[in-house]
Amino acid sequence: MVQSWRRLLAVLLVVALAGCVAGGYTLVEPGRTQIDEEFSISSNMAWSQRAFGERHVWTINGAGLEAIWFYAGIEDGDALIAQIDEDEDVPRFDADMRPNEVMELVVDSIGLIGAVNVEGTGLRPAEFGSVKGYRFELTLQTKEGLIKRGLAVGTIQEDRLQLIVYLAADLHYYDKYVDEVERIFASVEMI
Amino acid sequence: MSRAPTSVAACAILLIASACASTAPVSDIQPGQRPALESDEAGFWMAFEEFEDDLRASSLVVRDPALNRYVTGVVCNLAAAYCQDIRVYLIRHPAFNASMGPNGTMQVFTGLMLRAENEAQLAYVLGHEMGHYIRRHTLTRMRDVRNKTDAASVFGLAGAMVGVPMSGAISSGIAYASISAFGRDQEREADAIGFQMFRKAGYDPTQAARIWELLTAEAEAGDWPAPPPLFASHPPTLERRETLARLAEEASDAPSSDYEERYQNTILQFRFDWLREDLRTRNFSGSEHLYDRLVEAGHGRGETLFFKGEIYRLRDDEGDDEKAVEAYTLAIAERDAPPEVFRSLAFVEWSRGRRAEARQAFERYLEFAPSANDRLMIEFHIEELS
Repeated sequence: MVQSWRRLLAVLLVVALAGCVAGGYTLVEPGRTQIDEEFSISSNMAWSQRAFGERHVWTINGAGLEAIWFYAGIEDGDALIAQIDEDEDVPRFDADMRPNEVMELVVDSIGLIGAVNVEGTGLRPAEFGSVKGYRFELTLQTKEGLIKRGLAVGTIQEDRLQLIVYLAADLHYYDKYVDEVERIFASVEMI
Repeated sequence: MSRAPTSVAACAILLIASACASTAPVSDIQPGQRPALESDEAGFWMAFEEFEDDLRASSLVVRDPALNRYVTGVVCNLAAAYCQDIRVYLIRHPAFNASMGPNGTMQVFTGLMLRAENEAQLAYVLGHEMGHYIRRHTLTRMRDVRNKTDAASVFGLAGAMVGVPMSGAISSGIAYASISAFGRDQEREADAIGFQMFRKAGYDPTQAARIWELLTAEAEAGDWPAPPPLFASHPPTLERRETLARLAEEASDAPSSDYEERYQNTILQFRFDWLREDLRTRNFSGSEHLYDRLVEAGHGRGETLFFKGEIYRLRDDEGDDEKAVEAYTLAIAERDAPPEVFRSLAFVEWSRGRRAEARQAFERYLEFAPSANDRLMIEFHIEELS
């Protein structure tokens, strides 16, 4: 079961990077929304959302164009992406990870699902709700050449990773939603 | 990607329609030759041309002009007459692999370039791939599949050959290589042709068997049971090594070179990225074996030792902290160690409870990389450790 939703998530993320996600979404109205039993956030806009276990993706125009990925309560040994090939392992979260290593986890995971030139930059301390955390920027290219930019905020609390990643096409979409994403980041409240 | 179904359908129709020509013997392709428009071979070419269009636009392709000129130069050095017919695409992928389409589309993975010790080893593999092209092995293979299976299978195979390379994840290129796998006799033929070209171009004949020895050792050391893609349908490695060694012995009187220095100088600036991509595969034992070999060869020792340390930091098994510190310390003693080695050393020392050493390593990281983009985080850590 765990493997199957991981596989689904990986497939979705691959397709999202390629730019064509459809179906299975529900509407999230503006206002405060709880992300599992881990944290809540507030948005001024309506989003389409889809959940895969502790992973949730929110988008407006399609996850290939812009998406917010919520990773709520990722536990030690868990991966952000599925192990598609049983002969290849994937990067896994370790509760002892430092912020640089969490950024590496994100960068390496995205790199493994087919994006290229994936870079994490600007890692710095930041608040995640009321707790200490960190944030960083991302840049990458899809295999088809679409340039994407991203932002991420995260923290490790009680050995569990809480992470929010915004990824959007550099052309038009990133700038269109980045202010709202910043508001969402700032609205995090731990549960 | 969106055009793939059209080309696959066209390819399948051509394949089915031209079934009566399927048993004709296949002669070598001549320089500049293109298949007749009404032939089944034209269908294969069309499918691959569509694929090549996608490949040309893909960000997986390494664009560096000098590196592309260099690899294309090796191809042309092997077979000047076919130089205009082969188009080389360097694919950013950590696997040891190369492949050849029927229309002259040659894919060379960066994982192959990372592992080759010298130009002769690269040239041997490229010569082997050109052997497939010259003997038109894809055509024989597709006809063979068509004769043994039904149209749907042919359609599926053609589709997979076109579509898979652009649609999968990290193993996409591997899937493509295995789907289009040649038979063992074809591999032996390609070996023979490749070796002949490789020898005629003045490459050290012993390097052909050498690359297989290296790959065998790495595969045996690796964490995963799957062999490198190029092993998949090839003759048993021992047989191949013995054949190549015998050919080398017969050819040992002519002057030759492995061109190690110019090869290593050419790839030097790319090695860091290729090592980083290799590490992402999390095949830690295989990578450890590879990095030990690269360190021993003496090219880019500092950066390779850094990545060796990264294996242990990421794997984090019992005793790995000590191994990581040892590798980082050796890296630091080399002139080409990247500044990141101090940052990684700091994290490992911190996890061992050696806070003063961790702080000192963080400070040295910032000393060597004053404009590091994670400076604020590192300063925060230094503060935490004070």
